[in-house]
Amino acid sequence: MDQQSLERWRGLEQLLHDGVEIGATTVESYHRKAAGKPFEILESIEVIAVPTRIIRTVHDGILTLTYGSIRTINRALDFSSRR
Amino acid sequence: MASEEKRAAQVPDAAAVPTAQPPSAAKHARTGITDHAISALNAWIGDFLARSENGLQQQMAFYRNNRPLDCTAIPCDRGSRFCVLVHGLGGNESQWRFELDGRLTDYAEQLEHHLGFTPLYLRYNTGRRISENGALFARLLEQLCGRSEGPPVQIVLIGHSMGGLVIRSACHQAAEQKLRWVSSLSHAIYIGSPHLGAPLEKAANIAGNLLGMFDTTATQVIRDVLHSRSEGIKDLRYGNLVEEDWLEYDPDELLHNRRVPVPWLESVTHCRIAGAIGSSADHPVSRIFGDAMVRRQSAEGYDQRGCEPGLRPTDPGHLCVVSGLSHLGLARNPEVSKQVESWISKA
Repeated sequence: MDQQSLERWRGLEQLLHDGVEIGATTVESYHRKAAGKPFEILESIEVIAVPTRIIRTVHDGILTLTYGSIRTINRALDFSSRR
Repeated sequence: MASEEKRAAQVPDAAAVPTAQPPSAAKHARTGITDHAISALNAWIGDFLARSENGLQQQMAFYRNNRPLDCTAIPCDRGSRFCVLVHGLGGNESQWRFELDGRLTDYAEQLEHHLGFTPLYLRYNTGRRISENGALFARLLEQLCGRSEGPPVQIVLIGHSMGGLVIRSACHQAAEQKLRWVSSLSHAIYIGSPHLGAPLEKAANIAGNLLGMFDTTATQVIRDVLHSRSEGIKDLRYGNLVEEDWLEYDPDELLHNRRVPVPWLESVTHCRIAGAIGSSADHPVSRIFGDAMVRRQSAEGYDQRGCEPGLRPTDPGHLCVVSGLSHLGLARNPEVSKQVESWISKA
């Protein structure tokens, strides 16, 4: 494989890693925003405001954990491929 | 300019670039689907590829056989005559090829056969700012021509679409820096170049801003995808040529022309070719849509309100409208080839 092809393959690999990193962060922000709207409505109803806040905290925690895991695994793969 | 040193560092080092055959000895290799895909990728996210120093970025260089040429290996002396083809957005040197008398050729090759020019084909990252590509191009030409043997006798630059703007930016920056190659430049030929901007980019800007007004996830996803187009594409909105046109401004602000007037070099013959998709230049379809991507006034470089400083609008001899031709067709058309040749041979 010549130098140009090698650089392109490395570039493609880097682009995939960057794509997963940026994609996960972007989708997480859309997800959080979309989920936030029904939570805000439910939180405005006094009777269910407290349980809604608890559920929202759990939901947001799972969200952070899920997308954070994707990014962590992606970074680990990126790190190992560079070695 | 603060980023000048960084930009200069991004010019491919001649020693690091693989040496290909000298232009006169080389034949065109078939440009594969990978090269076309990379060119398209550079158009859409080339600015990101440059920032992240990604290997998929098309480094600016003269290309032959899909390989960058070592600039110092190209013979250049006082008798040399160079013709440089500069492709448009998402393109590469294969966009110029057309069939004439049963064989593939291009404008530079025609000038080689008939007028003895050495053809050179520039490839660059079209997603980067036009001003950045202009600076790199000016430097590359200086590397080619600024050797001890003395500058070449003649340089002709031919740019299609964005390529024409890169040429103008390079000329302006080279003149400011008093680079030696400017004195050898005789003609700058702009083929379907959006000197006053491209309507499609304006439409994308309007669509992005309209979608941003709706607070729904769906519209914001589409808006973000639209806004992710490269800085190079955004420069086409008003034909930005220099850093002052975009520095410190929001690239996605709604239809705000911040372009500073850039004079056309007085020492150079500026030839412009506009396309018209209608059956004649005055056909209503041609008047409205131009070549389907660039309107006629924009390709000519001036409109009813006046012209840009330094351009001689009363010079109809260096303006040509080719009817029945689309934007991409302008880069590979025998009629355009003859027109280009006639302008240069008359000089």
